Amino acid sequence: MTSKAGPFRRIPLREVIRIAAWIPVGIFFTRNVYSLAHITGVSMQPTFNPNLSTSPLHHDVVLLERWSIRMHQYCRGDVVTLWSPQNPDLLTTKRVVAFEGDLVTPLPPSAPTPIRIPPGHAWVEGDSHYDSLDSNTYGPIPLGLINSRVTYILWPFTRFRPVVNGLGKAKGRVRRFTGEVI
Amino acid sequence: MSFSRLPRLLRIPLPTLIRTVQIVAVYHLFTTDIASIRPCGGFSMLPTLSHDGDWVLISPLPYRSVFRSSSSSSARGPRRGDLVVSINPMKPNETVCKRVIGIQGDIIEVEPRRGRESIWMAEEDDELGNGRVILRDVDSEGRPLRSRRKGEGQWVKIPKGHVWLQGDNISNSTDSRMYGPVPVGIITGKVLARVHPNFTWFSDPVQSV
Repeated sequence: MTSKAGPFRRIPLREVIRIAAWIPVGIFFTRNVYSLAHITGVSMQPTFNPNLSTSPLHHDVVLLERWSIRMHQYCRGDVVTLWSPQNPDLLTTKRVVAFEGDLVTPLPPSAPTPIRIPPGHAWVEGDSHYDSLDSNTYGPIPLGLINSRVTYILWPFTRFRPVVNGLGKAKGRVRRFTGEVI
Repeated sequence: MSFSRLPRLLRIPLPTLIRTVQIVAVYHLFTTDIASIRPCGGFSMLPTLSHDGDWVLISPLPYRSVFRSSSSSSARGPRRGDLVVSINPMKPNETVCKRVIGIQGDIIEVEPRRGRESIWMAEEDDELGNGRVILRDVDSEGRPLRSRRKGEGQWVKIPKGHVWLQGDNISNSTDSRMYGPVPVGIITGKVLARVHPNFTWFSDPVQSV
């Protein structure tokens, strides 16, 4: 056997297989438990990317929690990621404002007549008042599009904090199916 | 590792545990990304699929961007006539199997079946005493015998990124006529073949006229 110099010759096949066997486990973890993502848009200002206009190359890095979506443990006010209903290849970040049975008064460009959210759907909105393509444009979305819950801002480190449950711009516009207005 | 405090059956050696986790992960990756075989029941897809759960081969690969031809925008995502599996828009824990009737930009009639019913009625005898029986769809005052179905004559344009899904058995199917156009994002795969009773590939049913 000719032994050529070089670092890759020395790794035995057995070792490669032993490491490669962990790759599917890693993929399973990032898809179903936790994963990281960076946020590029302005639709969730001021929660994410508050300074995007002054430093356009800085994107927030966030921690996505996926198992709570599998268990359906998320509530109104949580920030979630979902596949855009208009573009199945685009992952977007929005705040869940209302669930099925709630009555929502949409903002422009929709007409301001209250909409009852159909079963299995949610109303999602970006926090930004200006640059958000959300349910006010495309209407209620099926819960099946929701893919993870955003729990922490990890980077930049100065803004490291949990992403809190909040109202966004929904104050006074949602009547829950129980009758209370938030 | 000492698992000696556990009951005897639960004393699984660590390497076996690790191997099991790895195999389960590979299985999960394969079924979600490459292909899976699942039963698909219900009356909505008769006569293509039987109501007592035919086993079908489902794959998400035809809709992955790598395998799509990027030549035309209509080639992206499901095509008309495809049999697809989608998350139920009304119940996120369930999946449904339907046929794609229209893609983005198409204009679809919500209820294609005509709602009016006709029945055989006896006409009054004429002077010669000959009675006859004719098919009528209005009563003696000219009112239709049955009202229009909901959605009949109502046309919708399918928005960007959505498709229109319908069961093949349109008289017994909860589909886009009920919940509207469905975003492509909740479609999990294409049904390629029936596996269990008599294996058959599902071919493209759409013919250009």
